Amino acid sequence: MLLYTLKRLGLAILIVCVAMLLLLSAIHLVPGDPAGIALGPRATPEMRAEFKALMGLDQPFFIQYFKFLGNVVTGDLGVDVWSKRPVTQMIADQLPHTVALTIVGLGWSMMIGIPLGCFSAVHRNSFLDRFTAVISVGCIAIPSFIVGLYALLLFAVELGWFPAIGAGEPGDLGDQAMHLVLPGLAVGLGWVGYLARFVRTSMLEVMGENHIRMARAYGIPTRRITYIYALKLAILPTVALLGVGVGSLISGAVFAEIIFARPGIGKMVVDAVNTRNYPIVMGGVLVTTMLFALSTLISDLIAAWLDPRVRQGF
Amino acid sequence: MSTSENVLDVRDLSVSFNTARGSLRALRHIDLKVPQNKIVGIVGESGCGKSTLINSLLRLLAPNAVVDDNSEIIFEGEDVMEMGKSDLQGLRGQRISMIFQDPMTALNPVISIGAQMSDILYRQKLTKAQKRERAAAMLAQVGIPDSVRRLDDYPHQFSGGMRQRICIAMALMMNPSLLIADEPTTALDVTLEAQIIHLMKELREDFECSMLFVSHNLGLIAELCDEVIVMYAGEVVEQGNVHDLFHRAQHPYTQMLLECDPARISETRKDLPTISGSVPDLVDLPQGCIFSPRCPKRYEPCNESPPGTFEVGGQHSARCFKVRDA
Ligand SMILES: Nc1ncnc2c1ncn2[C@@H]1O[C@H](COP(=O)(O)OP(=O)(O)O)[C@@H](O)[C@H]1O
Ligand code: SF4
Ligand SMILES: [Mg+2]
Repeated sequence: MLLYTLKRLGLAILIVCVAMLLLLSAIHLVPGDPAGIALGPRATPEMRAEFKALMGLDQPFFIQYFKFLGNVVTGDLGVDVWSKRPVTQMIADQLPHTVALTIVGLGWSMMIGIPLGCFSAVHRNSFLDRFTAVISVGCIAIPSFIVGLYALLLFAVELGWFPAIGAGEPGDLGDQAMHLVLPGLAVGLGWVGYLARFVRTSMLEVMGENHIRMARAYGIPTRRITYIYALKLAILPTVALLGVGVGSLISGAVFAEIIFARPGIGKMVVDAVNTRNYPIVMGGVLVTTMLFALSTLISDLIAAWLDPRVRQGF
Repeated sequence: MSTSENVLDVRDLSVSFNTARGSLRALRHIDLKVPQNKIVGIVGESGCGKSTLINSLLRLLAPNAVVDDNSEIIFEGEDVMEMGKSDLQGLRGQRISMIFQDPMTALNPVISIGAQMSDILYRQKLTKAQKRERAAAMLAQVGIPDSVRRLDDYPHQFSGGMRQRICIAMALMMNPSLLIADEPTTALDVTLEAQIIHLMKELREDFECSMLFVSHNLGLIAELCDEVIVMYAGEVVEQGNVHDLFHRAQHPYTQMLLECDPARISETRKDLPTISGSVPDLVDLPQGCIFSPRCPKRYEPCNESPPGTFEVGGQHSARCFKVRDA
């Protein structure tokens, strides 16, 4: 198990390194001189050079890359080129908001999607199965920012059940939780459909397997067969899917942060891209990739925990 | 009362499946008795309805199955067809248990052996520890070494032969009155097969249960069973005790099965011998005898109407006009 964890951790680190390499290449490939765009047309060449040096853009590509990685290890992500605050500090302030939003989105999608999928599988071809099929496809098709806008209009503006914007009073956990409900729904709703369809398919597959027939022949109660014998197997592909899917949930979180004017990594990075504030872009992308890698790691560990065959394979 | 001698008494069981092509008549007018403490073998080529028969006994048929209203399945004096949900759960695995064909897929891969075995005892008022103890004792009895420790293992940690032993242990957990084995050794190699058969014979003495043993293997049937039922295309074409059946087979189908087998019943073989011609379409049945398209002894009456079941003598009967006209 330890070896398995280490292997997975190694993979996670590799993902992060490759992602940063791609990002740095992208920064270099983006047309136009970043310093020129950031400082405007009236900046002097000296100002531009100074700006480039500040962001490390004056050095050869690979030196920049390894220097960045080296700094990451020591926790140094450079400074905000405008406010001169350490990027690490800024991320530490924003990260909890994004993580909370992603988790709530994940929670929403799992809480609705998994039972919906189970239900459709157990009552296959029933009216409710067909109904959920339509809902599921609907959920998949609607982009999360649309859901976000409408949820905002309906539940916050019209009905006033939930607060509309912001992250809530710092220190007031209840208020912060209320502020998470709608953006979380916006982030998670698209995944409800995926999850429901996915869980349904794997449930149906598992329900047709021999051991389920055997469990039935042994009189094991139907609920136990469905929710333990079948679901424990059927959930495995879903866990893997979610591990990867967190990536798209995070990108959904970026939209939600903008629509709901919430603080968070997404908003921070989008603002930074507009001002070519590269240390923040680099830092923001780094932590999101890390989040992504971490979530695949966690999903692998959950799969191993659920499935003894995976556990033994490592 | 005759039912007290027979653990199981199936009368006029007919099952069809709704399919896109129409109603597939998988079982037609099956009569079958399993006497107390006897082993009844069922033989027949694949597709003849053996599994459908077995599944009907536990009311575990696929959702598209329709059981004819006249069908009666009397188990220990109660009609299984009339049972409610809770009665059925008290039947399955408790009074009738089943061993499946493929031990590699019969056990849940993500639940430990001990938990799967304990679950069968869910109706018992026993503590968790007591259930585990029972499970370990059963494992030991079917020859799994180090049984207490192995309760926490998962199916993939056992070989095929061991898994079939575990399935047998599970089947016997509740000391059922009827054990159904659906081709329990087909998926195993010859050595393992011999071991499992030996084990089943041994356990039969200890557990005193009646058994319905489905097999392709005539040798095994001859070795293990007291009575034999030969099925063809959804009908019982011949039944009788093992001696009569193997030595005085009356139905042309049974005769062909035995003739095709050069070493007759002594040789262990995996599959039934092949007989030329193909099985009739169960959606569109021939008018006369179901076997007539393949029957070498076919004569005038055969194409007109299906033959009834005719007594050969004693408990031996066959569904063939030749028996009537003999
Ligand atoms: N759920 C089902 N739907 C339609 N046809 C079925 C179904 N189950 C079995 N059959 C058909 O019923 C017949 C008997 O099958 P089965 O009982 O599995 O035979 P055996 O176990 O002897 O090989 C076959 O023709 C098979 O195709
Ligand atoms: S009834 Fe006729 S066709 Fe059928 S098995 Fe007997 S001889 Fe053959
Ligand atoms: Mg079968």
